[in-house]
Amino acid sequence: MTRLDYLLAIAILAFTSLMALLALESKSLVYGAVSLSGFFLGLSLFFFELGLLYLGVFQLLVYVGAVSVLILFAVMVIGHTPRKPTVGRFGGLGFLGGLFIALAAVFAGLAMLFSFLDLAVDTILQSLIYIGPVVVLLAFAVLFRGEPRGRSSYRFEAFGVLGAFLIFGSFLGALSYLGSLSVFSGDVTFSMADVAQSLLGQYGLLMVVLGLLLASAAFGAVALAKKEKEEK
Amino acid sequence: MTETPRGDFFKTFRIVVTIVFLASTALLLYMLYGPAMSVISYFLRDPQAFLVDPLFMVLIFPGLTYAGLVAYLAIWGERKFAAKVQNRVGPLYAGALPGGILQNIADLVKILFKEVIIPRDSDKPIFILAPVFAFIVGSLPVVLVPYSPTYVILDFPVGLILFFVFTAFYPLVLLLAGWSSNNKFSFIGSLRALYQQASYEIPLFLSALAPVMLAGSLRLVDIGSAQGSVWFILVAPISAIVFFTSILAELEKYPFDIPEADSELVAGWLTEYSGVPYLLYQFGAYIKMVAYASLFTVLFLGGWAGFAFLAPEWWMVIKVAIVVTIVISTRAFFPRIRMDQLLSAGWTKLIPLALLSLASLVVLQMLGLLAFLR
Repeated sequence: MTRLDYLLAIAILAFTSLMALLALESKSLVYGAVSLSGFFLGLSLFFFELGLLYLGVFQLLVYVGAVSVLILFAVMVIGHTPRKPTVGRFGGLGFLGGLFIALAAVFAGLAMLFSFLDLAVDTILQSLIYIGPVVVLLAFAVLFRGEPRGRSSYRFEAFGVLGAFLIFGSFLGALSYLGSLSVFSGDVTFSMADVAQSLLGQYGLLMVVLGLLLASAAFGAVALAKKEKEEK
Repeated sequence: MTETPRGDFFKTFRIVVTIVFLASTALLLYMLYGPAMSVISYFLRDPQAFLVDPLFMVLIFPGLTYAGLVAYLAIWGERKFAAKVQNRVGPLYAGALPGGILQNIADLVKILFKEVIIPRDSDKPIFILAPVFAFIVGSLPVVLVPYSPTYVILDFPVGLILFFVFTAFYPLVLLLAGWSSNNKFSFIGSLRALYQQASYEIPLFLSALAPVMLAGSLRLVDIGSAQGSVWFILVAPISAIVFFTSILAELEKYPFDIPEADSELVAGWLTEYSGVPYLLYQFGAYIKMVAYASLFTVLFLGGWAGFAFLAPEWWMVIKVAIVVTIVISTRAFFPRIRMDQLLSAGWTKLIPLALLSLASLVVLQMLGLLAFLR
């Protein structure tokens, strides 16, 4: 990976994390759904960055093209929320947005600094991993400075920030791990047939189990929805 | 009619407007002279490489200028053809120059000077951003379609799927546009567009699988090159018909123009848009049409295959022109169908037909009858 790749990865990282936070925290459901599709887009950009073209393209096609549209459609048709003034739509997320933009700028600056100092790439990654928790603490501070909105709201926001931190950290971990592998340093040539063979051969049982899990989740959702209807 | 002071006034006004227009054009040309010369000298520093320069490809030949020109001619042809067939007097005789080909420029100028109205209760950020994204998403597929092995802007290994990714983005943008307008017509129109485009994506993908199977690749250059001897429309005619029908539905052309249905829904999801945003939507839609026509040509009509007396790119251009003509001529011939007819046709006719075509190709392949393609 070159330094430009790192800058790009950090920019995508900031974008994806911001979108994930917005999806969790925005007050308007439609804006949340749009942010979720932005988050999926960011994920696919990671796949492209790592050279996994098939995975990136299918991530785009399935998640942004189908799942986001489905969620947005359901939100628009079912949950009709009255229009609110533009100011309160993101709640305290103006702060967080600014924070993440600042974060991206700081990371980009650090990367440039390291590149001037000719430090190894691992050093940059390690420093990023060290900086991550500090940023999350800052985010907590900003969130709790907001006006009180009840305990459950705080708990929810804490979960949101925790989730964002987990996503952030796992991306960093994944990046550092994949960056260390020699497979992803050059041109990645693997065919669709290889993927299909490994999915149906080596991971065949796993696919079946995952399918059953998804099916049971769908049945559970149907059962929950039906119960709610009977109560009414 | 006798000469009135009013007529005099308009005559004078017209002369003044003409002089102002010519003077401002001259000024603009004078200002653009320097940058234009630098661009030309950039291209001319190596005349051999000029025609295959990536910048040339993006800006001129398979890219922006070419697609815009085809879109321009398509709008003109659509108007004139429908007027001729349906005997509409206005569009048939409008325009002084041959064929009224300057009418589009007059429309462009009119739209550019119109006020951009943003409804008070609309969701302003989405309302303003949606047309921009619609234009981007609509015109991005143009970069993926090759016009010959050399004339391809982005030679992506899974180009066909990336094309469909851009296709799948479009309903998202339309849904947001209709929702943010806060208008019943817009929202119903965008829901119709979503139903239509989402349900016709499936036959579109399934029928595009036939050329992929025959060529053994998802790369559009490979699919086009595989048709040197036999065009895939001859091997898989059912898939070609399903694909073309799905294209009409995806482009909201007649008989599938239900989302825009101007006589029922005002203009569907476009109702609240005016001025430049409206222009962005329409221009993006026509560029999308050029992209789809090019994709149909590459997948089924042999791409750039043709006789040797013309360059391959010219064969591609000719075929695309023919496909665009067929697409726009549907406006003159077909009435609009109902929503339920559209959905039942998509789900109960086109999808089984596409699957049937795929199955027949598999059988032919297993019997060894498709060996002449390789």
